[in-house]
Amino acid sequence: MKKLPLFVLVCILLAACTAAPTSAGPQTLTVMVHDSFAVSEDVIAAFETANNVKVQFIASGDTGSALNKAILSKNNPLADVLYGVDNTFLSRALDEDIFEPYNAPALSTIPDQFKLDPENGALPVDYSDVCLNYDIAYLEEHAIPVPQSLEDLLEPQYKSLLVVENPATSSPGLAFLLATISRFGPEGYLDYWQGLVDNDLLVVNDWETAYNSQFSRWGGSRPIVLSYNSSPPFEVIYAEEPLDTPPTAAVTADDTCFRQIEFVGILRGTPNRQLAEKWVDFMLSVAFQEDMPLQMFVFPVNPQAQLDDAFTRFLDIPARPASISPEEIAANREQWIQAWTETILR
Amino acid sequence: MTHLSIQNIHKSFGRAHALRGISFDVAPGEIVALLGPSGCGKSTLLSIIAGLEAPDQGQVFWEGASLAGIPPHRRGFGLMFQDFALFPHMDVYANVAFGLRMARLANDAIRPRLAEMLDLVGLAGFEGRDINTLSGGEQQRVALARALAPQPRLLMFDEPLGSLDRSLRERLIGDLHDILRRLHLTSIYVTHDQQEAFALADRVVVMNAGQVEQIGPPQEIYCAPRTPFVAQFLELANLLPADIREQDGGRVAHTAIGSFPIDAHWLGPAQLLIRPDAAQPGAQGPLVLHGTLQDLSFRGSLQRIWLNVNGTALTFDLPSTAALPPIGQEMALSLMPHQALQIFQQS
Amino acid sequence: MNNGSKPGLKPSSAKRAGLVWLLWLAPLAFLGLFFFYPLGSILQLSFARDEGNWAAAFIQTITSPYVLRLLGFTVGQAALSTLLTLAFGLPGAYLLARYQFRGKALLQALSGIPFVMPTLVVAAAFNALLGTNGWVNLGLMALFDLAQPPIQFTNTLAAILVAHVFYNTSIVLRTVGDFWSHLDPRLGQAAQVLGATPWQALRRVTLPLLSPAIAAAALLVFIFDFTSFGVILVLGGPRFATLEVEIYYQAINLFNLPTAASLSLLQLGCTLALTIIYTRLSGRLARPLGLRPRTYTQKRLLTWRSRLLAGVVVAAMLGLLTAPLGALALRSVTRLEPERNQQGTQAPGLTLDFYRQLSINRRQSLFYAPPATAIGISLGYAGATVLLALSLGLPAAWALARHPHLLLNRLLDPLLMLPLGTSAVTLGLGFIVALDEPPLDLRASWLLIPLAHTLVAFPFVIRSLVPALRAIRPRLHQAAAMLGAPPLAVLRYIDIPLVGRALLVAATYAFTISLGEFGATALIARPEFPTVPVAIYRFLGQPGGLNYGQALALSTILMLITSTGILAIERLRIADVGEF
Repeated sequence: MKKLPLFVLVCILLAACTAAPTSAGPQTLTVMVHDSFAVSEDVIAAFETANNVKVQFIASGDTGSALNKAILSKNNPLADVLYGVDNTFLSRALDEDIFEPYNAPALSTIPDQFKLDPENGALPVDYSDVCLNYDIAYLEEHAIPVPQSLEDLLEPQYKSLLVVENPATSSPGLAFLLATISRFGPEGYLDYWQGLVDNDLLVVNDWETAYNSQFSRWGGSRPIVLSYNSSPPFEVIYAEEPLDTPPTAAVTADDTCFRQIEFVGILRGTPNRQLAEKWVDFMLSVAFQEDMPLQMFVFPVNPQAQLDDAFTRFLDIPARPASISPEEIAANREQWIQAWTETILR
Repeated sequence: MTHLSIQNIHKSFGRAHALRGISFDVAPGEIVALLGPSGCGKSTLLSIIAGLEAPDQGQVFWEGASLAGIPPHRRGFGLMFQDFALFPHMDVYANVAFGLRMARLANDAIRPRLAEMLDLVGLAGFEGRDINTLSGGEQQRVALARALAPQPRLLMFDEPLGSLDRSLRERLIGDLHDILRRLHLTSIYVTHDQQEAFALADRVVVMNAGQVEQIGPPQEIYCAPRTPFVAQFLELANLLPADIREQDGGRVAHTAIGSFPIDAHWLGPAQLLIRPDAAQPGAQGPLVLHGTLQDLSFRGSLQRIWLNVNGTALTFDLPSTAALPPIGQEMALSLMPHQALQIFQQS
Repeated sequence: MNNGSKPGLKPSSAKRAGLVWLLWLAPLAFLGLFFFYPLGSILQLSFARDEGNWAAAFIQTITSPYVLRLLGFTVGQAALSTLLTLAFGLPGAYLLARYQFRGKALLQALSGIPFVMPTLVVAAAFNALLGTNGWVNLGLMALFDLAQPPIQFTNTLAAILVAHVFYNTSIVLRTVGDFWSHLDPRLGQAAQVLGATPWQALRRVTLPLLSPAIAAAALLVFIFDFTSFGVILVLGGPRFATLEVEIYYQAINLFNLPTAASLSLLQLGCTLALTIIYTRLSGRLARPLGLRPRTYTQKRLLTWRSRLLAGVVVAAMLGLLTAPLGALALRSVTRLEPERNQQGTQAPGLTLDFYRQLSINRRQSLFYAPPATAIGISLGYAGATVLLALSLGLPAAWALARHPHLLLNRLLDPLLMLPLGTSAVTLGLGFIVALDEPPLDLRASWLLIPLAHTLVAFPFVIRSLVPALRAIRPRLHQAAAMLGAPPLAVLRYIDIPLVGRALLVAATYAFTISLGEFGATALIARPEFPTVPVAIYRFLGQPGGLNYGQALALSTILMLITSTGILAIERLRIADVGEF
């Protein structure tokens, strides 16, 4: 019995030596992604065949975790490419200087509003809008009009109807906080939130609880929930029974949504620069950009990419989402959240 | 020739000295009893012989070779524990076969040996029994069979009959005696019971407070205890402070109850033993004690009396048939001078 | 001959220490490599990011009013949760330990399921039961004609406590119940013969004898609650935070590593202090007991009192532990009502659609794994964790139990609990920093998963085995040695069979810990090889009834695997293990 543990340990160490990828062989490209990343088999297969490469994905938890892993391993990179940094985290990535600039040819076709890194270390891949969603049937049944602005939510008729996510723990929660800051300014946003609290706002920590447990569409008591503008089309695509129209809709009025943009970047020190460039080109290509929406509920920054029929029919894209620069977010994030926490939760 | 040789063993636990210079030898086939009150160190000595404890000083030799550093499982000794320490998760067969398994005997060899052992201890047919369902006597026999099965070079017993009732104990002492003689096993038997020690042992080692008081055959120990402790431990209870003086060319021990002529080569303070088993009622003979019969307890083959002589209570064992006066009356006892009196120098 | 008479220099004791070192070799190598080294690396790196005096920064952080409040809440809720869990679990442990009845094995297996369920799924189940629109509230509102739901459950301390009891009751049932089942009932009976009432006998004899197992269970439960993360976030809501939650926020969202490291150290320090108290205490509490096989300790439910007790305890256990799970399982085979204002094509009813959909890769996703594959991956990791945790834990537990007074053991014992009290995110980042050079570049290797699971399972294995090993009378070892058994044979033939039950308990812990673990797995897993919980979270993270239904279906499958696995481990018989 006593020999067993040693034996097991030796086996494991031996296996470790053989199994651990040597940080990237000539034919392996390692791509670090967050846990929402998904892609179609055939799209990847096409890339692998075209470039004679095997793509290895490393999931690394949520966006913040993935980025921190990349930063902590920057002396000895875990991967060749990192995908998934969004505009709320972009400054941290740029401050830590983890990306090698790459002026991808496809950048020329991408609208400037998405290009937030002038050095092109972080290249935009997709965007999505964090918007309030509502339960159409509930509002109709109770003859409540669809809110048209953030201020509307302070009206008594919206009392006890709204559930949002905590900006300290949830990415859409942070996005919505930023939307209110963009709308009311750093001086005014806390008053607005106090108004929401007075109107019996419910705050939960994560999107899953808000949407799956508290949203009236799924058995909860709140007909207005903070989610994405992509959620209504998904209610049709992933309905239990085929539906004609979505049971929910997004509020996309001006200044009510916050746009999240996700970036890809070549990790500094990669031995596979050529392949990494190919991968970035690939992510910006029409094939990948058209695959993304159904896989990840995000939308292409490449205007040449066409959207699936379900999206073109049911997707509302806000014309004027709220926005705050990554630098401003990075500089104030902690303080804004802390002030919010003290006002709203205490 | 000696099998086992114990040489100057010392052992202490913290400040308590458990053993202080123990030495003796055991011959092949000999049964040696370690006799002493609880706490005298006899079980510690057993553990040291077994290799379960290491001595602070001194050594144990087997056939002349030191056993220092040899772990218990390589000594080839057997030990039967006071509480038997049977393995609760094994049946009778597995318990008894354990030592044979450890000796890597094949199952074919184990089976007959096992039957033989169970037969020997009178437990034939008990192979499959769960040891938790056995009576105390049966457990004791299983423990004995288990200790015997691997044919140890030396078999040790740590108060193996302590927890059993009297009649069972008597019977088992007899059985054990037969078995040990028949197998001609070198054995060490630890007990606090003189009856067991005398009934079983060729030689008895009497221990007290970590030291050997006396070594000898049972009869010698009993008839000629060398120290007051041994006398007292053997329930030879009449020990009187005495002073030895010259008188009429001989030596006399003066005590609270009178003076007694004795053989002694020294003078001064001493202890006088008056053996309880060397007296008979009546006033005939050279040595007669007069006193009041204080109490009496009938013990079957004998009766024990307490005689008050000048304010000192003395114990005597008289034949059951002896006629006695009623309690509270005067009576006389005559002592056999050569057997009844023994003198110990005051240490 | 003089062998040297100074205490401590005796050859036997030196040799014993040598043997103990040998036993510790593999467990220490494992802990050193995969726990202390990564942890030390990340702490060092974190503090180095803060120029200046890190000690001063540390003191300043942990004495700030906010952190003290945080610590107060963390300790308070953990203590409250632990007390409630003990209060709820001990009657159950008594029932399982002392009685034989039909369905007992099933009850035991069911009570082990909560331990592995993903937090989000459990939260959904409790919300369905107790939420504003939950069945209980709706029922009460209908019954008493109320306008408002009477029970406020969402985002309350009560929700945290209920969830902690739900999760950790199985620890009490397993750790205390197993020990209790071997305790000689005659000891309690002896007290009653001496005039004690049954209650006094329980309080003065049985509970003190059980105290090592109760202390072990309480320690494990407390540390679990103390480092609680998911339950606090999901059920407690934004108003509550433990140290662990704050560490995550500081490290991941703010990338404030020095603060995160200070808080991690604080959490570690608390765990260590608690464990030292525990080891001191348990050394005093533990005594060798003549443990009895279960056939002698368990009886049937013959009296009406025992039947009543069994009824109440089983009802309570089913009510708290299995009702929410049952509701989930039911929901996974129920068609939802057709959409309001939509043309529903099918009426509500029972369906296996969600299960069927699990096997369809609707999006042709590269990371899709059919349920059988996810189950296979989960079981593979769980099997590796069981093997690794037992083979590392057994020698360590043996060394601890056999030589409790050796300085080495007294020093190491509390350290073994540290992995449980370590912030998962801190350790996860530590892996990234420390294990970055071949041959230990495990950052992208699947091996990290069973290794991480083993780190969590290891303290459970130790705490399961040590009380059982300590309860073996030393006489039995001596008896075996006198019969010619070398130390290894003593382990093989005496200790392992005698602690067979505890080994199974340890194996069950390792199995369920690995099966349910999500945090570390999500941080390390390769997306192509999702475990069942990872797959469940993927479904939960997407809108749409089908995704939600599939998450529930997969959760139900996870429940089935867990209970089957526990039953299978129960059925395992190590060679020579009879009733023990």
